[in-house]
Amino acid sequence: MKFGITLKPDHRFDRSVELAKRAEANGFGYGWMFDSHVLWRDPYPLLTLMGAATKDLRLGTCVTNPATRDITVTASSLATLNEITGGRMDLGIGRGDSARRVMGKKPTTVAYLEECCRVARALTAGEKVTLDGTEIQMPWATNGPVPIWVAGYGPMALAAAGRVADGIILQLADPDVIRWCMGFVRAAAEEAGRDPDAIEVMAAAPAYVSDDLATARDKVRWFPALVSNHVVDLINKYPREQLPEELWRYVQDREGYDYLHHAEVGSDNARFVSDEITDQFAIVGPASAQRQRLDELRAAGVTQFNIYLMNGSEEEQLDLYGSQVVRDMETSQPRA
Amino acid sequence: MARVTVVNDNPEFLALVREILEDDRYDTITIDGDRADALDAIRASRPDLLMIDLRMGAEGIHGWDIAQQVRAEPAFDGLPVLICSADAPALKALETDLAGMPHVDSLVKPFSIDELIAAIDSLLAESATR
Repeated sequence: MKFGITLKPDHRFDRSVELAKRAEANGFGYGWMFDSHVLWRDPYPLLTLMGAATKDLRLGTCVTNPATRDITVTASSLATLNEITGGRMDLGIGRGDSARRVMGKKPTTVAYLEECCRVARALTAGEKVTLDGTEIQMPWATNGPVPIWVAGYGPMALAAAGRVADGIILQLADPDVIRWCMGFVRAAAEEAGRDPDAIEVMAAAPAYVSDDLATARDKVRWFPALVSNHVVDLINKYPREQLPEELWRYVQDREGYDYLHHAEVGSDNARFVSDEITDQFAIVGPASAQRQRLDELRAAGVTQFNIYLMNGSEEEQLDLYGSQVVRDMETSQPRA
Repeated sequence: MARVTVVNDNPEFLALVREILEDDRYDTITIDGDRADALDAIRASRPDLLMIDLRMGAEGIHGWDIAQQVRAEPAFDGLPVLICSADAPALKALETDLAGMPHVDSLVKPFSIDELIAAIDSLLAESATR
């Protein structure tokens, strides 16, 4: 299993760089960055600095969307960064949540997201692609294509990921829901003539190493509240038969969501989130509990665990995870 | 065949509901709730039943407000309306307004396909006796 961290750029740029270096030193393989340009700092200058300060860490957005920036701009940025970093860039992309909602705009359609993935892959590979009837190319893009990770939860987005993605981003650490999601990804991949086993599977969620479960839960309780935005999108769209109950049941008492406190420890957005749901969506507890859940995720097909590292103790948690979990999991075989 | 007009701001939802309802042999018209002329489009569709979301679009257009505007017209007096929403507390808050209102029902999302069909059938049967 590979490990990554995701940063929320609500702090000064130099701290993002230091956290990226620290992640690399602790054995993490990926450094991801939220992209919500009004709420927080723009990810691309930060990724540039992070790329210059690290050697092997792969870097990318987790996630951007095809509406805030034209997909050709995103492809050009990533191809340029691929040149700077020696081909270490990945594109994490979804339909758009906070980056769109905070401006009163809706996410894009799945069909548009899928088309943009094809365009981004071709452009970062220096290949020709026809966009809106015009053939375009970035012949200077010689370090690509960038691997494309698609974020989604619903049957349509998951099927699109199966057709076009190198990896799928599943924002939760629940092995059962991940298995359910992967059914759609794998079926669509097979139908498209792709090898489903070649698709990477990322579980992206907060983790907090501590024996003090009450404190640990309060550090990550914001996460199921964040996920609830996507779940509300799903239940707005799909009939109940097409959704797993563990995904929609918990949002029934949600009263609303304030994006100005998105992904924020202690936010009122999380008032409706129970301990049980917190434990199900994130990983809390001592290193042994972390390893046990990671084994379950690995058995469900997860190939990368990406820690949403916004918990108020980022440096300490990076070091704890690196020393007590990452190195052990990288070398161990799945536990029985 | 009864005609059901579905109004929603999510094109993917509209496509899914059309698939479900046409399977059950309703004549189904879908309308993008974000359209500035959505009200005109509803009128032009001549529905036997209007299925509309409580909130639509970035401005939070109120589906019940639109439904009331349609029902206020003589041609659509007593038109059956099914109001849907994923916002269970908001739908509950509307219950007082809806209480005693003939041929109006609400459905919390995510609804099952059976629940949806049952709600539509029930409203259509009720309105047939009006």
